[in-house]
Amino acid sequence: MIRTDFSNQPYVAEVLRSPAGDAVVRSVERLIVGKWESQIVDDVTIYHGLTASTVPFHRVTRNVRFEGVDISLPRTKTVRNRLHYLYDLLLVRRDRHIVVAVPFHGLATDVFVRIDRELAGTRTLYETLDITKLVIRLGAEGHARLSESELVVTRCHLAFEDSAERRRDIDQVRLTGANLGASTIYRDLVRPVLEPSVAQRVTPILLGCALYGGGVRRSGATTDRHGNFKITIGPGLRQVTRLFQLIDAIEGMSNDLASTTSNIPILQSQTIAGAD
Amino acid sequence: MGTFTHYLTVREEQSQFRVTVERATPLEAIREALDHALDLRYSPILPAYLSPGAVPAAPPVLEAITFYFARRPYQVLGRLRPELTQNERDCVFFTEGLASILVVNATAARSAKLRDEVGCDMEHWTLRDGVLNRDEIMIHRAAVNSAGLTLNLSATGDDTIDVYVEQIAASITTLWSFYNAYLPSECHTLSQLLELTRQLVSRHALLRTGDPTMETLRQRNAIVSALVELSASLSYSVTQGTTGGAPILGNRSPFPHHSLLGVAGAVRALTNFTRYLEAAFRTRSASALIQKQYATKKAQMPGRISTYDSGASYSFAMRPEEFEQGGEFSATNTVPLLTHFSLRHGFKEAKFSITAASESLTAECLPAWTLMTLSHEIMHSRVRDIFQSLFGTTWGVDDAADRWDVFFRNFADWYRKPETAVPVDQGLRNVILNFCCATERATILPERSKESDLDVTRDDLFRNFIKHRRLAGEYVVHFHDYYFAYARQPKLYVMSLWASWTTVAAPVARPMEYVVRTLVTIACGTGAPSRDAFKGAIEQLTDGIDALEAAGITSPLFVELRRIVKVDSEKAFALFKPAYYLIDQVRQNFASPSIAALIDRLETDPFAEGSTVAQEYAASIYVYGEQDKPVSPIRYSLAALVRQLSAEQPVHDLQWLTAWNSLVISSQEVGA
Repeated sequence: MIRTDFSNQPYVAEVLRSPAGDAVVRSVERLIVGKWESQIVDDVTIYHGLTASTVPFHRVTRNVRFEGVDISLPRTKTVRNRLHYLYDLLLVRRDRHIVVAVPFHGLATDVFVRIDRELAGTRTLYETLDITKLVIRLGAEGHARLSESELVVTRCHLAFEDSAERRRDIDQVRLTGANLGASTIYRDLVRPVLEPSVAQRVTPILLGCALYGGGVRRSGATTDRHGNFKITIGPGLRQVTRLFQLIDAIEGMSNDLASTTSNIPILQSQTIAGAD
Repeated sequence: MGTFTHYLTVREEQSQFRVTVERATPLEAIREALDHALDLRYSPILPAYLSPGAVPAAPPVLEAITFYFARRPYQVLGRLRPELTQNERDCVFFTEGLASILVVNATAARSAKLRDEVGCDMEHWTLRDGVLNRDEIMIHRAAVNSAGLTLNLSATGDDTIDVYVEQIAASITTLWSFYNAYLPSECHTLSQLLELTRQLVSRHALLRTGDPTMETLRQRNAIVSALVELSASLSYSVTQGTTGGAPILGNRSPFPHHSLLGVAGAVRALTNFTRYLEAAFRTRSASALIQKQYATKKAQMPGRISTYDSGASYSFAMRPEEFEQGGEFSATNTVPLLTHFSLRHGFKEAKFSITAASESLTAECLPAWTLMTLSHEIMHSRVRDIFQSLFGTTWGVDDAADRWDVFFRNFADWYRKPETAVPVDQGLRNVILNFCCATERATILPERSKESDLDVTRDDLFRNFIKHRRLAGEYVVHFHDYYFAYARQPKLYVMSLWASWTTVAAPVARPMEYVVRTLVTIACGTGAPSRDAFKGAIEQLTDGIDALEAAGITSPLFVELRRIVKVDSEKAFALFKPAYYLIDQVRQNFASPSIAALIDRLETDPFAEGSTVAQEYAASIYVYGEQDKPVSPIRYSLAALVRQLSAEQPVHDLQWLTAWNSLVISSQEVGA
């Protein structure tokens, strides 16, 4: 079973669509130390490896006992006399849909650009969700009942712009919770998104959703306007395999919610960096 | 010049062309061409696909060059990117010319495949040992579906007028054929200019029929000068906008430092920038509103500047804006401004054209030559309309004697009883005249003036207006620029103004005027009493100047500015008060949330992040254009300026950044 080193924290992810198939897996393997470790869960294949960086992105070193041996995380390796830190690189594939994820935003700005270079010429695109339309679709209740599950809003960052007054009494509001739609505060705040006016414009710039089934949270992700995701990995990687279910659920709500871009999302990231 | 910029050079040697790429500077190529008396053409070419923290790979040995004449190169780069291998990406360059994208060493077949993807004209050069023969140039042109244009001009028999008629007709003919192929959106501009020319010529002919008077002479001269300006501007459009087309070697540009590919891409950026603002302002015409709504609606306007203390009704408070009231007032038949570069004029506005400094071709990302200055010039055009609606409606009659009799009577009546409600247009005119009179006598008085000292005669009023109308106009322009373009960001506005004014003669010659102009603009909309507003504005001005110096932008002008606000602050306050009074009335009657929303484009701009705050704008040089995600040229330019003002440029190459900003703006669909 695959074990990631940083499963206690959210990972930064991008969702790729590539016609290149196995070639993508092989290309990205060049960025890890050694070979992929893989695991198949239903129709999803998870690949895990460690990518080396001279930059320490972690804040603390953790000591854990793994298979009877004490190890420090992140692991390290000396390459050409330089100490390198080894960080998780996850690649989760279902047909043309691929998710790549790493545990730190700084690491993502390096690794995702290198992945893009490896995949150049393969017609790989990045998936983005139109979060304004998604907020509208989820309505004031921030909630959608699907056939076997339920989609709820768990995070919402709203930007306020007052074009009538050109004032900045309020710039942004950030809400987080298990089910924001259950609160009247969320309803009040998203009303201008649902009923736009020229005088005051409110734009969702970050949206987190969770998929519940049988009263249990099955998967969750936060995304910005550019296709950056923050996902919960969980120790058993179950949440990450269900990420495709979450994306399917959102795309199934309306065919204009998802689109693709050729731009690397992490290079446009401003708000996702602070969404921990 | 910088490490990212390369120069594509072509030297003509015995009917062959030697093609090379020079790194960082073209000076070596220039020296060699001079030494051997060779004809040299060159243009900067810039690597299109950069990676963060990496210096782009040097261009390989040239075997082929493919030029793509893409109208929306920013989007084309986005579309091509997934198709290209990393090696191919390293061989893609962009330019400021009409051939906006250039691919090095692609085979003819690969070039053709990419052309199918891009969907634009293409020119392919095959080189042998770096040498190009004319017969190895391959040109692919898409069929152009050109409509004709009816020339409704004919010789008038007046030699002076006929010279201009012919010049204008010839320029329009050249541009018409060219714009059909490369810039179809501008064809409408040409037909409007042709119609304007016809109207001017007809009016001139009409004025010649009656007995000549001073009045008709003035009007005829005004028409001739309008024709001169039109002809000159069209001529600029021809020389700057139509060179660099296919075949490239047959269309040399008059810009010596862009002689190979020209600057038509950069001119398209200027045009887009201008059309974008024009389209937003066209939705609600200030002149139509003044003539139809403000002429019939009455309001009370404050008349005593000495006791004027603003108030809550002048703040940007929650209420419907006066300018938004009434029905539809969209502008019809407005003639778009012709836009081009000028080394001699720099940034300048005229009746039918605006110019950007030629330095903006190389160093637009420096504050002195930012495209944001163009917004100020475009606002001048809007304000010209406002003044024309308030003070006159036809060619050259704004100083007409009988009109001034009426203006004086209205002013004198109102000044005696300012509490009387008057039509808003009349009120605004009175406010401007009141400002002119107050500015004329603005000094620090030891005691309060007697009422009789404040009386003005008709001639005094006229003289004061002539003397101070330019300044009044500047305040109205500042309000428009600050509110619409800068989205009321005081510190940013201060930094932008003073970073650019360090290189201009007028602020050095008249620092007091420019300090007061800044203070008044950023005090606008606070609604605070004059003294408080003045003090608050000084604090913000000082903050802005401190921030500029922290970013390494210094000037002796800043020392003088600090001296003025410290030592001469009472003198500044005497000038501040009438101007604050004026700008408050302008704010109250010309702020328009609906126009501001069109300029901001928050909903569709991919970088806006729901905010007009320039620091939050997420534009990146590693991001490429996409269909249906239009960028606001204003917000984009402002964010680029902010990065410069805060010394946070993504790459240290002025030419690269300049050309990139130009590429992004030139690729936007505007004018809807």
